[in-house]
Amino acid sequence: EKKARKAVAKLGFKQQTGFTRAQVRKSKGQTFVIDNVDVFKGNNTDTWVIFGNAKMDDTNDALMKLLAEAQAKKAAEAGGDAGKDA
Amino acid sequence: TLQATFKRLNAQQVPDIESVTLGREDGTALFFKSPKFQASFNYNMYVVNGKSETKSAPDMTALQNALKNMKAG
Repeated sequence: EKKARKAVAKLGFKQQTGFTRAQVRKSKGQTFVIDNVDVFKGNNTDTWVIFGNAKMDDTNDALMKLLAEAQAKKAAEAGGDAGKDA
Repeated sequence: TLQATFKRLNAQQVPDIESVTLGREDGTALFFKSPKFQASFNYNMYVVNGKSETKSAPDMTALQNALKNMKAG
């Protein structure tokens, strides 16, 4: 990683301060996050370089689980009434 | 050139990137829509190329806090 940082610095990239984390969203709903990022930006370009450890984000999974649990609960509660309609 | 250097660092093009959000300490974020994205996992390095816009991200923070509370409770 040191080598990469050196190479990036050589290209004239300047470190940007104030950034904390990056979130990358793929088209199939996959997300990964990079915490404790170091961000560099090139001169006169729209190119940004991010250093950090990427990991899959479990936020989506957590949300899905919560939704599933809530729906299961609802279904269980509605269970009694559903019997009448059937 | 840029690309030659990134290539030398094993940066590989990752397709189908919908968005990249760079969060700042002050709660704002830089948002890239459909950027070119390259990753070099050997070096923990990621390259984002594209137009960006600054967004305030109170919604995300609120959502994350709500999630945390739900997990705790």
